[in-house]
Amino acid sequence: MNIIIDGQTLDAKENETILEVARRNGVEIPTLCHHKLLEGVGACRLCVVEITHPSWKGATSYVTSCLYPVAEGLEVQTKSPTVIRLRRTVLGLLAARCPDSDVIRKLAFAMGGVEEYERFEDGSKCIMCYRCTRACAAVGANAIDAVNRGTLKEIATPFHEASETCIGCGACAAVCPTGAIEMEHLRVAMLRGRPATERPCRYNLMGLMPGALCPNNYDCAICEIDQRFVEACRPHHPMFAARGLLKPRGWEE
Amino acid sequence: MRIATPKDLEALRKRLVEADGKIARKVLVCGGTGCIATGALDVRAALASEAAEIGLRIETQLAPCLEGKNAPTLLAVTGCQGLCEAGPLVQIEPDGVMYTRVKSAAAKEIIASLAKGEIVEKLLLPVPGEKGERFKGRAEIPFYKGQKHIALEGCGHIDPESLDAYVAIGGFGALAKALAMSPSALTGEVELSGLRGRGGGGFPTGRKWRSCVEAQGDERFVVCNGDEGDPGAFMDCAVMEGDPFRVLEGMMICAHAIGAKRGFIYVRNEYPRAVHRLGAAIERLREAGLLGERILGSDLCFDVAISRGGGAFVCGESSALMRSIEGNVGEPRAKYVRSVQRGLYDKPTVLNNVETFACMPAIVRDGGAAFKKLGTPKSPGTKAFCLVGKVRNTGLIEVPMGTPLREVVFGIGGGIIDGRPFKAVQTGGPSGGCIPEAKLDLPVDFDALTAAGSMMGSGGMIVMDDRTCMVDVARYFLEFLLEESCGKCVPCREGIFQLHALISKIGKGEGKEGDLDRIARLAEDVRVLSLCGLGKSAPNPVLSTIASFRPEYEAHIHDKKCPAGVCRAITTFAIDEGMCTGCMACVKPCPTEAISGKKKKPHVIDERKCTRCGACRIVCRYDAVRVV
Repeated sequence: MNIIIDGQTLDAKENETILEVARRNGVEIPTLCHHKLLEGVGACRLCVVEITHPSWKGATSYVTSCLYPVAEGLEVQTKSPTVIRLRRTVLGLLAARCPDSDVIRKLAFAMGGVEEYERFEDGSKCIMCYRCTRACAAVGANAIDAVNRGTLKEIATPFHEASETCIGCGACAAVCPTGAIEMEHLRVAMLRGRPATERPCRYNLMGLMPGALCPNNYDCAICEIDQRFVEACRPHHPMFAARGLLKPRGWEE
Repeated sequence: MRIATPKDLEALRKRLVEADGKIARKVLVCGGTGCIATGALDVRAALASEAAEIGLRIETQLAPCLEGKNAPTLLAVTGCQGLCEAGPLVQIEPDGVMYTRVKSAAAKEIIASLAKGEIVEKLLLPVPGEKGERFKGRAEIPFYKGQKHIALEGCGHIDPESLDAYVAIGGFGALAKALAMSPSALTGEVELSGLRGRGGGGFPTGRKWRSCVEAQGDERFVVCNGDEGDPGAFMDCAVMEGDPFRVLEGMMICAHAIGAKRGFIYVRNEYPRAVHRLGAAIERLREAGLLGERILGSDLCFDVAISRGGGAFVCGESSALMRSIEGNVGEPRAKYVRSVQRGLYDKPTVLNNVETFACMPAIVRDGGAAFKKLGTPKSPGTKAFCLVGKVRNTGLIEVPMGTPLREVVFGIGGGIIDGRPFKAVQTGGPSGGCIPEAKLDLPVDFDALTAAGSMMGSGGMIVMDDRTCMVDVARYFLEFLLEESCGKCVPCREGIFQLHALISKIGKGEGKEGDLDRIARLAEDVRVLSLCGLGKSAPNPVLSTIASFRPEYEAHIHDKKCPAGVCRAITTFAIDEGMCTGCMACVKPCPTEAISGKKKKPHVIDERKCTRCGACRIVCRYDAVRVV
């Protein structure tokens, strides 16, 4: 089927989203919550586009391109003045929520500046895009999810307690667009080489296994504990292909 | 007893109607939430014990009325009878007498009057403005004139816990009729009726059913949305509590039309009585064979389960509701693929509101054309509303669509409390808007209310007088939505927060030039960008109040004054020396002892002590407490 994006007629397949067609053809649409390996949620609304269809008799609608399925003859505007205004509003609201985030600041700058709103001072960089929760679900751990409602909403483990299902894979940190989730890499580097009695296990550092010590000098791949991670993940899972990191021994194929 | 075929149903109905004919009088005690809160259940107990004292034969169920020599009196607790303001209510049928504000102590007189065939005059509703005059019967009370009950047909007239009572008034006759029709013809009848979804969206119900049938899927579901959460709305609560069998019959009719085997009713857990009554009704229907396999001897196999909501307003949104039934977090999803195609458990699903299902038996029984004759061409039928706020007759009403708002507020509602000036009526809950005096002659239907910048919503109507500040109203609804937004999408979560911050500043007298334009711009973007209906309609209370009451906003911003005397930070009360009679009435209620003065001399408010609570203004009968 054919759809028209910014005046260009482009080939599209059944069940594709507008964003997929646009990206394939080099049409730029900014996104934050979208990740090509994860199911779409439409949380950030940054990828908003204007659409119309010959059968709509001139009526237009604003939809999130990451979710909207293509249809024959669909006409899409990705850079109309209203679309730009809407994206600026989204970024303005996010900039107020996460004043410390470089990612948001840069995007806002690229969009030509945004309106100032009342700022939050808690210093969080989390924009509630659900990438981490979706990645966590995709690797099968389901250790984190969104809790609470409205502006109190946050990503957390159940009841804010140490998770029993977290496998420490770091997928959440890898997909976070704003760097709100960080792994313990730096701290581990500092601790490496210390006596075994002063080397807390990575899972201990994450608050998952209080008191556990590391017998292997942080060579986690040979550790029994990390076998949970091997068991829980299929080696060809897209998350690992995407990251190219964190491949435990024996998965080198 | 099992009701296995339409013949069984008809035989039962005949027997119950015969039993009904043997009853001398029915004493119907209102069991609506308001009346129960004011002691209706005590009244019922007192009536029963007084009757036992004088040896009056009382029955609570229909079936036993067939037996025995002397004609029994039926004593039943019904669903909401409507006029909550004057509760607890007791109706005497077939005389059509309505007693108001009945206390347990009055039970003796009521029972004695029944035996003598008299009326207890002092319990009748007084005629406003005419001393000593009282309304003889329910039919004379202006509140009930102009109403037309379809969804509320049985509510307030029958014992909601009795299947017999429902069958006696023709219950499940519509189901029998529907089962004799082909699903397509049945859907055609619903399409013909023109019924539009009563949950607020107003989508044509027949078309929804049709597209569900056309959708691909090996299983279909019927879902009833009873997650009523708008402040000031209790229609669905009243229907579920007052006539649960009707809602279930509507769902069964839908199940036949779309070929569903399972249904769910999503009820908020804050409605324990509705949960209980629906649960009991479902159990009763299973016993009678009206839920389960081969209902009334047809091919319909259908059962219903109750799903209790945890109290999230957003779970009234269809996709969030379905997520919640599935056991997931109640968050909406983008509905580019509609739930009739992919709904509950990703199967084609019809989700309708309680009231929509409650209309169904009447539509099938009388035909779609009869329903279509009521109301306006584009919004046929009737609509239930909850009339609350500064209106004299608070209560539950159902009127034909197209009834002017003025008739609802001043005719049925009896006007504003204490005769104060009308300011606005808020319709559609937090998603709706405020309609000012100038638009009061608007006919109530889906399109007219939307055109006026409000919406039908589920049916809450909050009446406001001149002492209501519209900035404060907008702030209140934003605060409600701020707490109830699920927080999934940015414009709703962050946008409502910022709108609330801007409006709150105006209320505190910290508003700046250009704030109204900023609010309007952001509100428009929140409307366009939001993921679900909650965010899309969240700016309505703000936009509609700015559109109709701009000078009031400007007074807050430019003059730093709240003309209605509500926003405490910028309100100053003073006593008008010319008006004050020195009656001392305002001195006592003042919590900070800020008012001083001698008897028959004008009083004075000490501004430093005054907390602007407005208690003095409420009690002053001479309108001497003024906002300066």
